Amino acid sequence: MDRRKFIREALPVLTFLGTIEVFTGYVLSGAGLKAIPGLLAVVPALISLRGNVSGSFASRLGSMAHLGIFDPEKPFKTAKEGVKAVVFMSVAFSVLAGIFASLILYGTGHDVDFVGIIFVVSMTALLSSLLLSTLSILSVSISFRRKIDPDNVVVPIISTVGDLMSVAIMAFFIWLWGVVL
Amino acid sequence: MYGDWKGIVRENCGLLAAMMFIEVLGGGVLNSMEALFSVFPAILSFVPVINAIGGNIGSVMGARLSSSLHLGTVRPALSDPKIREDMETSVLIGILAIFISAISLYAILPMMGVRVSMEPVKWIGIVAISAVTMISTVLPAAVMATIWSFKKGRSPDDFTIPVVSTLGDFMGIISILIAVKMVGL
Repeated sequence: MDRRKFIREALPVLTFLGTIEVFTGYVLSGAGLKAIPGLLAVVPALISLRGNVSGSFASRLGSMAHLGIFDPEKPFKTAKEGVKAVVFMSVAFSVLAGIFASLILYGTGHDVDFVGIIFVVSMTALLSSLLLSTLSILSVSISFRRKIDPDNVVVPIISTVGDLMSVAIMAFFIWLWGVVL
Repeated sequence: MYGDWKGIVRENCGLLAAMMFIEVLGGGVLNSMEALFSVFPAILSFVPVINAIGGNIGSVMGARLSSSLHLGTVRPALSDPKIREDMETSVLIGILAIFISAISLYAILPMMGVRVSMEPVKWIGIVAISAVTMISTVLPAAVMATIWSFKKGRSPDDFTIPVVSTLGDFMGIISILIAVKMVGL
């Protein structure tokens, strides 16, 4: 475990990705979360669920590529079952998180807009899981064709882009909810 | 290799459900800090930054350790000197990364129109306390989760990363809360 090599490789990547998250924070602080009381409580669950579900999907695709069972010519066909699992788990767990958070907030005497929360989290989960699955598949097949190890690039890309994308999509659905109402 | 989508769901849903509950608890704390964020929006912008760095340094530590465990170059025990050395290096990297990002944040936010409206000394104090709280929780957890899953024969990639990134998110919020209470505003 060479200390210098560890610092040289990890410090720039972590600092860069951390600073990129500033933009996620910026979008988050301008997303109009206050329009839907209680929504802020679901945000960490929504973002991290996306990371856990799509991140492990991406890392699984990377392993498939290494094992030679990911066909870069027909990437979407190879990954079909994985995409179904990602979309299902994202939507199901986001709705569960919405219900759980609403119960806690309601029980502790906070304002909760239950229908608004469920609308925003389920639509955000659906759209962001579809977009992130596509992005994962494309990044794996592109890096595979260019002979870059997908393990080194795909998961950081998915986690950083994913955070920003989920928050931006959520801001859109908060806006839409305001318009519909 | 991973079968149909139902198989993938069955395999992952227990851990995901547990992580989701922890995240919602963290979110509840975040929600109760809402008043603070409307006065100091810069602090809300700092939440994803510290969460990401904390989660990432934990994941990197876990990934490095699991490779070494598989190669047999370290023993699966906290007392192994190589694990100790790697943890010290990770502490250094984590704290430096949080500091550099926080200083950039102080410069970038006003350009994006977010008020920082806080003395630099207080900002540094909040960053320092939350960085130390975060790193000192996430790193030991990453090491223990990796050693535990390795001993149980589970893939550390599937276990350590969700556990550590969730803990990173939860601890990010808690450590900022602790820092704000200690420094005062």
